Amino acid sequence: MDDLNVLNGFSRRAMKNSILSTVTSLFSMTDEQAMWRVRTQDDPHAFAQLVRRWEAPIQRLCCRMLSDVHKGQDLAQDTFSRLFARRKDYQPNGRFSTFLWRIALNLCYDELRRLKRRPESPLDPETLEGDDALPQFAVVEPSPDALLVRREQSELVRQAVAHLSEAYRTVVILRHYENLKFREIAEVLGIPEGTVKSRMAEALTQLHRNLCHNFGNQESTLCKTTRLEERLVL
Amino acid sequence: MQNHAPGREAGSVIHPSAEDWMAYLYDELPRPAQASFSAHLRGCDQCQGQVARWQRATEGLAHWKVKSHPPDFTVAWEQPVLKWGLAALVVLGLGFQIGRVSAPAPDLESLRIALEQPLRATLAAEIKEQVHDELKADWMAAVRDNSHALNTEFRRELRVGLGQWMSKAVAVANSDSQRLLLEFSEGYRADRQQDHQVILTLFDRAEQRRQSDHFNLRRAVETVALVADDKFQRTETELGQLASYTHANFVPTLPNNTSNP
Repeated sequence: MDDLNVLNGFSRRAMKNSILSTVTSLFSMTDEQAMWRVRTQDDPHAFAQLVRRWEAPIQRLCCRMLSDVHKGQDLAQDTFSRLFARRKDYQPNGRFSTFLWRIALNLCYDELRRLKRRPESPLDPETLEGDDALPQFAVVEPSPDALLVRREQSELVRQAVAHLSEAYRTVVILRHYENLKFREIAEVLGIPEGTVKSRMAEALTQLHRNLCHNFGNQESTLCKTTRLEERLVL
Repeated sequence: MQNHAPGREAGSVIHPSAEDWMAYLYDELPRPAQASFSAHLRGCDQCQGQVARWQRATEGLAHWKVKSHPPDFTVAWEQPVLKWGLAALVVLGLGFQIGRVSAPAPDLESLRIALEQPLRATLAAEIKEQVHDELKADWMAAVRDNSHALNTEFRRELRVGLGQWMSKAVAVANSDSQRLLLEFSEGYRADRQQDHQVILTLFDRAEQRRQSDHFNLRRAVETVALVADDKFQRTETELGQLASYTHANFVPTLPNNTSNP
């Protein structure tokens, strides 16, 4: 009787532990563990977890690289499709994030080259502004004037970034917007860390010049102090 | 810090490079370096201007915000599905509660016995498989995380082992070399002594031979001198006799003035 009670307790605990461990393992897996499951067992839960974690940053990257939210969203979905298609190429001794960033960047470069060959209709500035968040997420409504100024500044910056070459744009987006370290960017792009930093420096120089000089009368507050300082220096 | 500032000539002042400033701007420098860069900025107008321009560019970048939107189709179908799912859960929960309250008390013991064996069989296999998968994934992640450390550690140990082996080999080689050198020098010394002895012996023999030859030569010369002397004396005697014969037989014939004594 005692043995049966013990067995009974064991079965209940085992069942609880099994469900608990399954649930907790799904939520506490690292990216590399999840990708390993996807690679070896085509585990859909693990893949869904990766998508949930990485959807937002990949979308932001694609949107900024292409300067187009809708194209960016499409490309983000393509990124995850390609990630699944090339799951066997994933090496477990490498970082998952590096693998995923590379797939996304390669798709962005391909799309940019395609757009260069076949230029499409001009971008609709209204589709690019991040301030047009879904209404249910708006907390504070800015005044119309402030909104207009903000949109103008955002558009200036968007155009300035779009005017950068692919190499400089990639570094700016990964470092400034996605907050990757220079060392991580070097790993993703397969170039030395010093090259990443020098590209960043050149990109910031060009951005500063573009923001202040290349947009004619749309002189933004970003540059007014620059002009003053330059006058003083000269 | 490198010896040139971005776009400026090198002078006596050492300016950080553009790459260094990027690390400074994005807080990727260690604290002591960060402090020294800040101190340089306070004292250098040129770098201050350049860094200020870069900083303004980064501040400008912040004006462009992009929020990620979930794909439309997920928004389209997720909400109704969620709603229906919740509704189904509520209905099931209610039904379960009603059933529990209204149903007769089950025979727990027989239920337990009936469920125990199949559950144990199913769970054992499943648990085994899950544990195996988790261990494998953990192992791969641990190997990936530690591979660099293991690699470094292995290289360090290899270097240490190689260094020790080399120093031992060098020590052994040194002692062997010294021993060989000692043997060689002793052998050389012995050979030289032997050669010296041989030369001395040859010298002695030559000296003896010379002396013996000298002695023989002297004897021969003395003998020749004696014989020559003897022959001279005999010749002198013969000449004297000859002279006396000649004088006795010679009687000069004088023309009618000859007188016999």
